[in-house]
Amino acid sequence: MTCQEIRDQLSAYMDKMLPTAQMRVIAEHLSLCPHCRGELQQLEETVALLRQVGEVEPPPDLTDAIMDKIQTVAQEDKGAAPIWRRFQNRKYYGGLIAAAACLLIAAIIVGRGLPSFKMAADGGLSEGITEDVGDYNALSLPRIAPGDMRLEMDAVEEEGKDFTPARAFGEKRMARMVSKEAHLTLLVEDVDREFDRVVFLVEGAGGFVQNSGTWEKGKQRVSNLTLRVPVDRFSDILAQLAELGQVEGRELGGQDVTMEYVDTEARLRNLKRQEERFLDILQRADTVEDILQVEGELERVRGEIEALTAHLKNLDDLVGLSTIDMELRQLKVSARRIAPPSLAGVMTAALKASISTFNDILYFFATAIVIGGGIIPFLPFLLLAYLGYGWYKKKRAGEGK
Amino acid sequence: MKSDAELVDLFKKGNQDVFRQLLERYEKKVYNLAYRMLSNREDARDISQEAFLKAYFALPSFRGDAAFSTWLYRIATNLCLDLLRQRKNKVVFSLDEPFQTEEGVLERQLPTCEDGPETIVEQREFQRLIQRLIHTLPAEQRLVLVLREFQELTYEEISQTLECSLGTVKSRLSRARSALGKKLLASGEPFAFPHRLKEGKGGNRV
Repeated sequence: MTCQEIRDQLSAYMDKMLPTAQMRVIAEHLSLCPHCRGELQQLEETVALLRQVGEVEPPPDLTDAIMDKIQTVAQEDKGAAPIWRRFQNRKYYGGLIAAAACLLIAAIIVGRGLPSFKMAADGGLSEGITEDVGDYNALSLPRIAPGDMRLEMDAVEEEGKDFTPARAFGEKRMARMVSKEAHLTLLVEDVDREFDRVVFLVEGAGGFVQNSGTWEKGKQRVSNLTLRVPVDRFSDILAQLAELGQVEGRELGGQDVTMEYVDTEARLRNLKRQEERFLDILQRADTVEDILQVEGELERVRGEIEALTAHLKNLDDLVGLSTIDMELRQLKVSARRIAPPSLAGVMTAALKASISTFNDILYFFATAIVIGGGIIPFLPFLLLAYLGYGWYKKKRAGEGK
Repeated sequence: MKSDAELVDLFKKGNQDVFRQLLERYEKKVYNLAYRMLSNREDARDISQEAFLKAYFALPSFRGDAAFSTWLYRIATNLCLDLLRQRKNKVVFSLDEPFQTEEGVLERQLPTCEDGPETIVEQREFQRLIQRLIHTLPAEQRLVLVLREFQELTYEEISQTLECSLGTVKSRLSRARSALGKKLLASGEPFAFPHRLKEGKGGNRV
């Protein structure tokens, strides 16, 4: 054994806390090694010194203070609402706020899938309360009268006999097959600057510029842009675009392509079945003449399938991306003229702003109530979790932590 | 005089007044343990209070696997360690502890109401030195040292209190003792090893 190993055990040796054999080995080493002996002595002296240190006296009122505290807490525990009493403690505020925030986020995430939230998001709220956006929303769902739909369906059914599953599919999409369009003419001070802003805005929203051009018309600079934007951001983007300048003209339109879509789909299905049938026949054809004839037919059918598929894709594109035609025209600014804002204009703007804010507030509360309602089903679980946590803590304390 | 176990039994049976006896029996021990760990009388007071409060409410579920005292020490040591952990990044001013300035360590001069002969002054300074040096040890080592040298617990009891193995107790205690010995020597205080000369311990040394 090296001296270091011996020294590591001297403390235990001193307290006779080593096995007998070990004790003997160390005793033997100590009788031979003055260094380790010195080490042991230092340890013994240190400990002796520590033992000389007396106890400090606790404050004389400590016993009573502790008993008082115990009585107070015991009383509180018996009190009517211990949970609420505990929440009065500032120590818990941080945790509570964090828990509430988590809950809110969870509720929003889960809530998006729940009908209560959807109801609010889909219309209940926005239709009733919002003012400006309502104009655009109104055009988003020009629903097809059920009667019309049935007629169209019947017509289609004559063509394909196994149309039933597809019909359900068609019906589901039908209400949404609208391609939205808008024309917006803006007067702006600096056409090129606003042009850049439009591009930036549209691209930021996940859309793109399909066509654009700028030229001088007379002495006026004019830009034309054809914008394609995701349909769900349509109204939103339109409102933002309108803020870039003075709106000279605005036109909104929607084209219902539902029937066209269903029709094309049905024809496509039929053609595909025909294709299969021709392939089947081709297998069984034995004369060259037959084969050539069937192949000719196949080619025709395949060509039609391709055309229809492309058409469908085009329709999808039209519906998924709305079109905004935009014209930016330079505002003629005459430098000499002073144009103070009219009082009436200011008042109107102020009124508008106040209505808009009021609507925002109402919308906020409505949303809060909806989310609150959405949370209620979670409450029993939360209560359970809280009780479980309390029980666990108590148990831990019971074990001496 | 009833034993701890008997008092605990009585408490569990609903006679909660006996807690006062347990409190009186261990108050000083717990207070000293906390004081040695935290070097601060205010904290020692708070920790003692909290420890007994916890003990009072947890006693019904105390299973008696270990002695009551061990269990109580465990509560107190955990509270001390929690506090030390919380304070790790905070600067705390203690009335008892010397504090560090740019020019070196300054002892706080507190007015005292206890007048006494020189021995008391010496005793006080000796106490302060020891406490200051203990305070420089890592919390784990300090804890073992305090439990062993001040609370005079056996190795077995320490291992139960800290819920660690006997081997750990041995090695921590060994490290704490030798580190403290070195610090005492290095402190160069005249009363660091006063008995070395007086008692002439360890024959081969002068």
